[in-house]
Amino acid sequence: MTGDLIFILLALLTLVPAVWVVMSRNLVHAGFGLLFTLFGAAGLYAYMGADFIAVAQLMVYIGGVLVLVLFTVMMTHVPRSHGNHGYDRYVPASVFALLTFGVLYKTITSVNWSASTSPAEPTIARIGAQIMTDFIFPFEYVSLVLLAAMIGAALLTREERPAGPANAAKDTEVAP
Amino acid sequence: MNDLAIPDFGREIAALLPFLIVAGGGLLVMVTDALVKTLRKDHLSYLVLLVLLSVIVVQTTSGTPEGPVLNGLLLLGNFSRFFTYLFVVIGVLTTIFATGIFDRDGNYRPEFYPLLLFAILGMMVLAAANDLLTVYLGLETMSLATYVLAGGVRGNAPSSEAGFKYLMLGGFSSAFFLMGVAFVYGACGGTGFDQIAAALHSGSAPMPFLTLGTGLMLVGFGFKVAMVPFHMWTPDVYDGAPAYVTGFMATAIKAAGFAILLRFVLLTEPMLAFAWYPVLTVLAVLTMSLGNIVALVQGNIKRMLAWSSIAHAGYLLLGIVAILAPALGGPEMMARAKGIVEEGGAALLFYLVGYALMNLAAFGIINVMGTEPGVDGDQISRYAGLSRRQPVAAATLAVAMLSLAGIPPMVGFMAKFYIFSVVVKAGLIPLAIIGVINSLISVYYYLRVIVVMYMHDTAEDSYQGTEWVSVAAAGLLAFLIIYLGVMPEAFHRGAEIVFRQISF
Amino acid sequence: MAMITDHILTWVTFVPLLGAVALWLFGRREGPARIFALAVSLVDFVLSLHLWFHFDAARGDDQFVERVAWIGNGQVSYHLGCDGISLVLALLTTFLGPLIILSTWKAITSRVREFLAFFLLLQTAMLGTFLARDMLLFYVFWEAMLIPMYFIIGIWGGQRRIYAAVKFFIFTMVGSVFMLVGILYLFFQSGSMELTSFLNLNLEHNAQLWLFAAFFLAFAIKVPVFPLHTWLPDAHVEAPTAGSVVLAGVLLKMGTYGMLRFAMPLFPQGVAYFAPAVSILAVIGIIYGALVALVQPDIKKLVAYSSVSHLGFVVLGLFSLNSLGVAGGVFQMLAHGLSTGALFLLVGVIYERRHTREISEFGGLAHVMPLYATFFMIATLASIGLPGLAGFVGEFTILLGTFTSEFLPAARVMAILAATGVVLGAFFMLWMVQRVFFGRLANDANKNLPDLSWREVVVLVPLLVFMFVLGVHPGLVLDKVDLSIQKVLAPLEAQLVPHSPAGHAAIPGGGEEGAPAILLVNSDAEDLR
Repeated sequence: MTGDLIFILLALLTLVPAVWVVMSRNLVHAGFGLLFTLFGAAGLYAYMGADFIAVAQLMVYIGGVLVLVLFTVMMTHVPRSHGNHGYDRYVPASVFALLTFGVLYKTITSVNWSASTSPAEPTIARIGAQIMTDFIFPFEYVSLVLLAAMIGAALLTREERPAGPANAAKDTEVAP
Repeated sequence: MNDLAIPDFGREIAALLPFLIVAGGGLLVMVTDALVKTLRKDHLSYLVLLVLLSVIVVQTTSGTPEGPVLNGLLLLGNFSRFFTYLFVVIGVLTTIFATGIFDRDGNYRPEFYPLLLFAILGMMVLAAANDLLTVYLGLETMSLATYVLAGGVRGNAPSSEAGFKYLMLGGFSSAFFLMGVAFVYGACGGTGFDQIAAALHSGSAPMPFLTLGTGLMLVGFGFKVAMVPFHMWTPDVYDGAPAYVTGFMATAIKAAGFAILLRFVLLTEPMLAFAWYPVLTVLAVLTMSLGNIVALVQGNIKRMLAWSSIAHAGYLLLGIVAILAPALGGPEMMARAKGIVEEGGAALLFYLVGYALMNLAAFGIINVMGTEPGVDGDQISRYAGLSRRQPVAAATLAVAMLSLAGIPPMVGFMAKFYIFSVVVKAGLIPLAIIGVINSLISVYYYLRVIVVMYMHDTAEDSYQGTEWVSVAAAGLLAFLIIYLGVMPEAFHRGAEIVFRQISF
Repeated sequence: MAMITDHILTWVTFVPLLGAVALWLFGRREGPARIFALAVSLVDFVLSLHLWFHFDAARGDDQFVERVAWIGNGQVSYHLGCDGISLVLALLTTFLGPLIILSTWKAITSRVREFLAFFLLLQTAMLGTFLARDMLLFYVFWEAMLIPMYFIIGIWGGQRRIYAAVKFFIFTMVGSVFMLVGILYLFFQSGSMELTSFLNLNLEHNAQLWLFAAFFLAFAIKVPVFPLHTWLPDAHVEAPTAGSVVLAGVLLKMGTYGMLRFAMPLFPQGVAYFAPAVSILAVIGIIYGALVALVQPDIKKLVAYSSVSHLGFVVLGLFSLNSLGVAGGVFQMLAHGLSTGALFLLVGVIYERRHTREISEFGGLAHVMPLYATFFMIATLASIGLPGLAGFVGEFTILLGTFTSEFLPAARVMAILAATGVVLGAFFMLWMVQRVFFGRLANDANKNLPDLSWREVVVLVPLLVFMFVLGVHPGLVLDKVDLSIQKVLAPLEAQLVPHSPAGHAAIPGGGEEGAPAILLVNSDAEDLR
């Protein structure tokens, strides 16, 4: 019963800010909403005993990605969107989201789950060993992927322009 | 679990040498550019050519060991070798095409070279992948590099738009793919192809998970190969990117996408056939038809070729559908299944090579002609009277167009012949008819380019320039297009041998 | 020598291709390029004469056969062969080649080398089409032919050349892609692309109908059979003279040849099912072509529509399904190639001088160009089937064959209707000749027109000579093709049931060897020689 309660709280922590992220007209607010959502997701992982993923979630998404997002949002000039609130897009988007949810729900509930009763054991050590043995190739190879991404990032920011690089202009289009 | 058993490193390193050369080459090129200040602009391209040629030499001479390496994460063999050759050759041609442009415009982009090599590396990994994890890594390396290649022309709005669009939609497709991987992993208890195959054979995996997972993964692949309805990025990206990058994307990415799609389809064959066969059939038809019909009204040659590449993805999907078809048929079909799978696979490989040849030839010429990438410079009307000013370039482009239209004796015809004969063999005559109607539609817009080049008079804003190295390279491709169209047998047989090893 | 004679068909087919490649060596020197191309086409003609003299007409099967595995384990082969039908058509092609090149001496002045190269490529494709005995090889040549013709019309044509070229290309493709599916189906059924292996298939009734429809569509567009003819007037009018000549002389025959070689023997039940409809279309084509030709103000367009009419005869002859009609059809292919080819050349001659082809612009030309008028008259008479000239033999045999056909419903009515087409044809051609050549020399622009030059005479005389030769001695050709026709039609025998029970001969048995009972063989044809 307490387990259910914890789950419900964590789920709410994930979902409610998520709605806020989508609905908010202010990018900074949306960014902070995301913080709670990601935090809730990390809590869910931890609750399921997936300690590594929970930690990674905290470190990578909250510590890295989100901070970066907030910095970007706050340091660059983002024009407030006004006028048309784009509700016409909400309808197809909601339909699609509900449909996706329905499919996932149906799929997940259609499977006979065999619940494991053994207590969750820490996985970080095992994952570490795996990465250094069986999965050494992906581990090493990822560095090249990151390098390619870094070259791209460096290229896009190499030269400062008063009006901001071409990408900044793009962002305004993407923001709803 | 904790014994850090070191595998036989000597064997593995020898096996991975081509990969290591490309990766190391990418780093070397990057470092050279940063440290050596006295470089002439084209020096880096020579270095890249050296790297790529050494891959060919190493792979040809060393006789790479076959079988799984790195704990089964990669599967080396004829299939991966075949695609390595293909990607490397495409890379060589792309480098050649790119060199000319840099010299003429002074539009120097040193980052192009390492990224090209990283993209090729990603494709090689993709074609050799034997584990969903490796598939994802390969996909991402390839994609990240090409996002930047496509969008990397600074201060050029269409190019930036192309890069950004590609990045966004590519991100979505990766998300779909990962979600699919998660479901398949959940169903099969592993990401290795062997584990997945074992789980499928034992029947222990829960079907709904598999269906959803494979469906989501197909969406991810669909984005990469520009399958309708995941094709939206193609025209803008092909148009916005510089022509030599577009040529690279149109050929290498498509080949890489179909390489892994083919592996994946064969891996999950009976299951995929039952779950997704009807959808794939409809999508193949839509992909062909939409691509061809929209291409009819394009005035920009790069957009036209973008839609045409969508259409060609449709023809290739026909081959995939044909491979899946026997699983649905009765015992009589199953008896023929092996033959159809082998021929279908060989036909697809042949098609990919033929398609690469003709598209590279076309984009090679387009690249030479279009001075400012993306700045409305690729209107077909600007090719007016090209046959008088640049007969070799015009003839090359004409051969490429006729080949894309599937007119014998070009390789495009033979490629379609192989694909359609497998489709007929799989008993899908209506699909074959839709396919030929489509190639009929396509004739119209391919011919239009020829009409403009050969039958219109030179207009004021017609292209003048030429770059003989690129034209010569494209001309060589045109020769190969005809040669393989007349003498396809040796190559097709090679493709069969390549394929026989992979079909399980 | 042996190297050439052992592979004579390959040489005949590919010498023009070699010539086309070699033309690149000439750079911008047009004169030598012309002479070289002419020499190449003459060499090809001489090589093809070897076929004529060494062909064993008493066998009637494929001769000079060459066969090399091409694709798959011999599933698809490079297989050339030459029977009587292929022989006469191949010879027609090589014979017209040098004449056409000679005719372009003054007419084609821009991009000469490219024109010659395309023309030689076209020769190779046409010869390959007639000689291929492997279905895929045939298809490759059949389609490859489109490319040079497309360029010839599109680059050197008239005002609306691009429209005409694209229309020509697309129309032909429409038919051929469906044929490709048919070929693939047969390939799958038989496991080989050999024509002979297709013949041994026992296809079910429905499959035969569909396949026949697919094949027939491809060939009918090429012929062209009414109502698929709309590309032809455009292509003819816009094409340069040389293009029109080769189009009328050879390309259209590829359609009727395809019917005879592939569509008819492969799908006997399809033939039985569709023959009445096809022959009705043929008759409509004959009359329609003649009527439309009647009102054409443009000489070239008039001749183009007369082609629709004449090719209607050929199709009618083929689908009369007796050896008389078929032999007449084959003969008419040849006769039409000569007479219409000559007419287009003659139209080109006047167009070069006046740059117009409007009939109303002319009148009384016989006064200033007597030799030209004579030649034109002979070609016209040959075209309308005056006894003693080539056209007569073909049309008469076809009409006779149709009249006696046992398979067509209302065969006699059709023959009679077709005969009215002959009358109409004579009328519109002679009327045109009268308006152009006779009467008063009204138009001042025509006062000083020079008569035929030596070059033009050299181009035309061989054609005229053969109109006479074939007119008085049709056996020259019929002897070569008779047995081949029987052999080609042999698969049809067992399948066909005569339409009217009142036919002359009974079907049963038909006989394994020798003259099949249902075919009105030599007895009647003999009389013509």
